[in-house]
Amino acid sequence: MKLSWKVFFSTLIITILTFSIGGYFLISAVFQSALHRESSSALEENKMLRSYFGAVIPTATSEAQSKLAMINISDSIISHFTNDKLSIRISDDAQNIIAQSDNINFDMNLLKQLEDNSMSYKTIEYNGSYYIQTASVLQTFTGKVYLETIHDISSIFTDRQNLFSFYRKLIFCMLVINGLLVFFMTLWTLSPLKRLSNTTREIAKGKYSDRAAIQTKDEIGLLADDFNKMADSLETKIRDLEATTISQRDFIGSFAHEIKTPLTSIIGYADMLRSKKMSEENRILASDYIFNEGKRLEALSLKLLDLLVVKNHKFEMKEVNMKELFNNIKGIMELTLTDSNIMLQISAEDIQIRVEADLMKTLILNLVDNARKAIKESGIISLTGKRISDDRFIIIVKDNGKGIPAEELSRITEIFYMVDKSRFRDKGVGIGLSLCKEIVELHGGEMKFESQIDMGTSVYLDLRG
Amino acid sequence: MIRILIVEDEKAISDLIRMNLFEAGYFCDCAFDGMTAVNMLDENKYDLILLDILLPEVDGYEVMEYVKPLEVPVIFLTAKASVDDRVKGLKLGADDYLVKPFEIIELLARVEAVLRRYNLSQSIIEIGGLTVDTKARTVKKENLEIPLTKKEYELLIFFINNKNIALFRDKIYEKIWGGDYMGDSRTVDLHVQRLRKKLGWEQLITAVYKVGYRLEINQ
Repeated sequence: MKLSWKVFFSTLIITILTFSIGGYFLISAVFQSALHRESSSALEENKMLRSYFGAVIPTATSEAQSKLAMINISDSIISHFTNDKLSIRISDDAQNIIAQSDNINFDMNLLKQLEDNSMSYKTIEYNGSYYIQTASVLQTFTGKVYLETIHDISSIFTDRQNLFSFYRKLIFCMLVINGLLVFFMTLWTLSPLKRLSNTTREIAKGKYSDRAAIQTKDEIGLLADDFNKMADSLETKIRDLEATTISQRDFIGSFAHEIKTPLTSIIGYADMLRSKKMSEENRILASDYIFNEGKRLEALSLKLLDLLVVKNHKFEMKEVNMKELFNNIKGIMELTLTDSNIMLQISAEDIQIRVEADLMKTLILNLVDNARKAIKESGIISLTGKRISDDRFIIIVKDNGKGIPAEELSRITEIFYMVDKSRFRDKGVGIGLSLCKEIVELHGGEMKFESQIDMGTSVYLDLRG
Repeated sequence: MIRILIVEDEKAISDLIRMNLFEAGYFCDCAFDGMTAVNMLDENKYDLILLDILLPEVDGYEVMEYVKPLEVPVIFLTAKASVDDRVKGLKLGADDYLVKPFEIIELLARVEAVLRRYNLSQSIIEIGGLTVDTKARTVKKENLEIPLTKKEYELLIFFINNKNIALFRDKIYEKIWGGDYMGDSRTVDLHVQRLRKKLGWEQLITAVYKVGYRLEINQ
């Protein structure tokens, strides 16, 4: 059952129930007070009759006389006072009827319960009409005289009946009006919930950017706010995951390609060696290819391992002297650079930096080696390092080589991406800059490239430590 | 002579294909990128193109667009093994697909199959004193027909297509009989013995120690 129907029905039931019970008690109270009023007026009437009777009754006569007088008085009282609402009965000591108005059925029991000098009353029902019967005793010289009156009070009961039936109609009208009001009220209050649930469904279908547009300030508005916040963070997470999945898929695709290319040569030449009679010259050529492509696979696996290590290990930063670090690098690169007619200029401040020394060395060596590959015949590579604030320093690697085309700059840190797609190259594997990027990120820094074709490339490293 | 253009940017693989196709009796040219390939197609007429897909500058699919109107059969060379890639290549009009890494006999078999489909392979083969007519499926020695069973004939063609290459017993079994080679089967040995005897090729089909057999023909 929907919440709106639950609210609708329960509100209706509660309204009807409370109004019915309240109305019942109200009508009953009105009825009771009317009944009470009627009974007291009936008693008053009886009392009046008794006084009148007492006043007119003759004193100290013979028993027969007094009996006759009693009958006469009774008759006159009855004929005088009786009307269509009031009936009177007068009985003697032995409770024998002396006179009676008409054929109304008096309740005989009332007299039996009556005590001396007291009055009593009760309501009785007769032939579908209601009456109030009162009784009183009058002490005369000849004995007790019982005076009874019966008052028709059907109108009170009819009134109650009418009230009830009117109230039923009233309740029915209220039910309809109330129902309509409650229906629209619940629709109105719950409509944000419906919108929220629609949004939830849209998100479940995959529209992660959908949001609940609910401006109310009530609990539903708060819920929608929280929901939107949750959807925001979920969306970010999902986008991240999707990006990761795509990059992983791309990585696997590229990786498979990078592995298959050398493998094709290795398998092919090995197949030739094992199944063919080959000339000495071709045999050496084939073995050479197998060796070189095997080396290429080795380089690939080593670089990938480096990348994995950098990505997944926690490193401890230590104080290193920048000048010493640069000199160390110069020492490593000197021989290769001299062979290629390249000069390496170093300018470093004599400062301590907090870095992982081996990774920093790998980073700079990679960048210097890239610079070397960019220089065709002879050139200059400059390596500059300086501190720019208490916890930041920059390193610039600059060459005057062939440069990188502008449209390639954004992709060069992608794994396996190579600007020089020709395979007659100094066999790189396309992992170097990805590795550099990871190392820079590990040091909480940024790597920027500036390049002009045939003018050279500058790499700016902005690092923390 | 059948002329084949090899378009492959990896020199090691290009050399590998060229060496093997040359020994199988094909004339080969090599192009190392898409543009050169297109230029060479303009200048010369080729019977078959082996086309790598991942090429610098102009990729294999683009070269394919250029090749299509020339109606030259094409075999794609690629490291991409997914079904989608194969379908894309075949839809573009490639005749076959060779996935890297590949074995030499697979390369030769696919080249031979595509050429046969285009009726470009020689139907009369003269080899080791025999004349084999691949259309009539007859084998003659000094104008006398040598009766061969179906399996023996297939075995002979397999040897001829892979001359000077050691054929492993399991490869022979898979190719001629189909199914997996169980290792101890004498079927291959028996058939090779009978073929040698019928053809008088005792000296030409040599056993390769522990491996299989090789048809040795000096070119």
